[in-house]
Amino acid sequence: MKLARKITIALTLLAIAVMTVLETLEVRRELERSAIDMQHDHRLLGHTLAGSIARAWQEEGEAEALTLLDQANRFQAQVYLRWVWLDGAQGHSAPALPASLLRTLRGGQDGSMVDDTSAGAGVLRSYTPVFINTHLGAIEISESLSEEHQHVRNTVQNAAIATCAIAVAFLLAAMAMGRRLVGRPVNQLVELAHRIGEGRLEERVHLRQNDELQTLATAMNRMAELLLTAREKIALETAAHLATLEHLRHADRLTTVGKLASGVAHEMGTPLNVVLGRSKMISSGEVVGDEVTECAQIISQQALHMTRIIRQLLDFARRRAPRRAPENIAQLVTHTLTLLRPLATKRGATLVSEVPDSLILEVDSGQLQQVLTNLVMNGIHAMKRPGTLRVRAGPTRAAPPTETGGQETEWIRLDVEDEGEGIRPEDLPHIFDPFFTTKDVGEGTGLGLSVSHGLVQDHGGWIAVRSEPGRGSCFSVYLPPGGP
Amino acid sequence: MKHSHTRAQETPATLPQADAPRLLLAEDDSEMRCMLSRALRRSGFHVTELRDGRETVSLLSHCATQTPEQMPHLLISDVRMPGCTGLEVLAHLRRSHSCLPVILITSFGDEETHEEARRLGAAQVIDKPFDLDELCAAAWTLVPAS
Repeated sequence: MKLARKITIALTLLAIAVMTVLETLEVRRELERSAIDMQHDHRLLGHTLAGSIARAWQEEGEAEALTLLDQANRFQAQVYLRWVWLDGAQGHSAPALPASLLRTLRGGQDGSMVDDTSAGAGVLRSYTPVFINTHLGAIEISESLSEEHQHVRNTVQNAAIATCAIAVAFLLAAMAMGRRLVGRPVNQLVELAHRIGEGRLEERVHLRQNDELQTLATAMNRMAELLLTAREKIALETAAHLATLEHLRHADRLTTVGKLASGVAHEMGTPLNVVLGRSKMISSGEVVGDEVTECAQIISQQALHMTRIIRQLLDFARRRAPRRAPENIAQLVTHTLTLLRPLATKRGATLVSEVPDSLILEVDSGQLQQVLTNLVMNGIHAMKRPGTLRVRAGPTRAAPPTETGGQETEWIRLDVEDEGEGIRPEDLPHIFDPFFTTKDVGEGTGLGLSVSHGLVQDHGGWIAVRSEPGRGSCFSVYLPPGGP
Repeated sequence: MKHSHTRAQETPATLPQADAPRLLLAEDDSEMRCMLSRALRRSGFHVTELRDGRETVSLLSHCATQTPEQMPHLLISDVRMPGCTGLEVLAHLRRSHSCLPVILITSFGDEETHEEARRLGAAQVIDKPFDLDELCAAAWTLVPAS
């Protein structure tokens, strides 16, 4: 039920209650006034007849005196008069009157009572005491109250009809006014709130009244204006933010492209120069005989070197998603170390696997082997004098690096630990950057660690490194125990 | 892929004359060093090959104690070398108040490298890959006419 209707009904009920109370009080007052008037009339009639009856009783006897009462009864029908003895004289029994009334009458004063025992609406009986010789009698005047009751009923009925008519009129007027002054403006305000909620902030509401709802409408219009201004400001700021982001992305792309370009230029410059020089030596006839063959071999070697750089660069650029399958890590490590053992032996390095046979992980075997190969080769290159390179694996608890984020949990860690020269502290932050290398020319392209880092990240893990210059380095590959 | 740095000295295309200008060549890539050395000798220089930055700095320090007749006339150095970069060699030279002309060769030819080389007073910075005749011509322009 709407608020305006509730208020209207509540006010109507209140008005009906007030009018009912007022009407009831008015009817009561009227009844009291009517009773007083009747008693007064009875008293006047009683006193008028009392003297005549007393005189007639003494001068002409009882029969004449009572004849006066009969005559009086004949002349008016509203009241009925009769003689009663109050002290039981002449063998007549006294009427059953309340003791208080009897005392009043015996004291010579008039009295009245309402007799409810008779049929109908009751009878008002008034008594005027008359002393006949020494006996106390009284003129009893009886008047039916049915007319009074009928009047009361009519009055109540009329009042009820008037109250209902007023209530209905009030209700209709209040509802019409409520709809016009409250319902319609509130609907307009609700509609405005909905439109604002839908984002139509240019909408406004205009009320033709000067009350609290108008104040609310003005406040809502102002709110919509402020929201519109704020939205426009946010849109501008967002556009500026996006433009800045795009600018940063562009700058970042340029930086990456520049980095890659300089890396490629750096790696390719020297072999290209050798190819250029050697080919020119051949074409100019500067070299003859075996020297031509030697130049051609050098050109071939340099071309192969450049091919390797380009292949690694393409591997770096065209990284595919890992195709995971359960792999025995011990077998994978053994296989990798077997392939690299000739190179290690040439440099006096011993390769040792300490990976438990039972370790099975969901990995892309090709990619993990590539990672291991890069790390082991880096270790071999770092060992300028004979030493041992160990590959270990096992479960551990660790928290991912801060840039990835995450809780400390269970991981599988693969350690590749060498006894090489170690990494300088100032180089550590750059070791995963593309084309960063500390190796001699031709030994590395600077892409191996960068590629490995990306492959391990694709497996849901990361690579950590600790190094002590002069003592060696340990690269730790963290992988999820059951695959990501 | 690496060759002995003495191979170029063993197989010179032409032998330089006794009064040929003395040139120091610092390059860590043996193939590149061998080829450059050969071209420069052929062009008429007396070339001393150096394998990295440290060796170069060591030799230059030694040169400071020699007579003017034994002093080199020119240094050609790669920028990126293990131990000590060409720029660091150049900075070392300038600290020791040497006005030896220096040609830097680099394949990492970004603007910062060129700027730093100019600031340290490099006579020329040549980006790889370059033509060997071009390098020889540039070297000759820096040698005193006498």
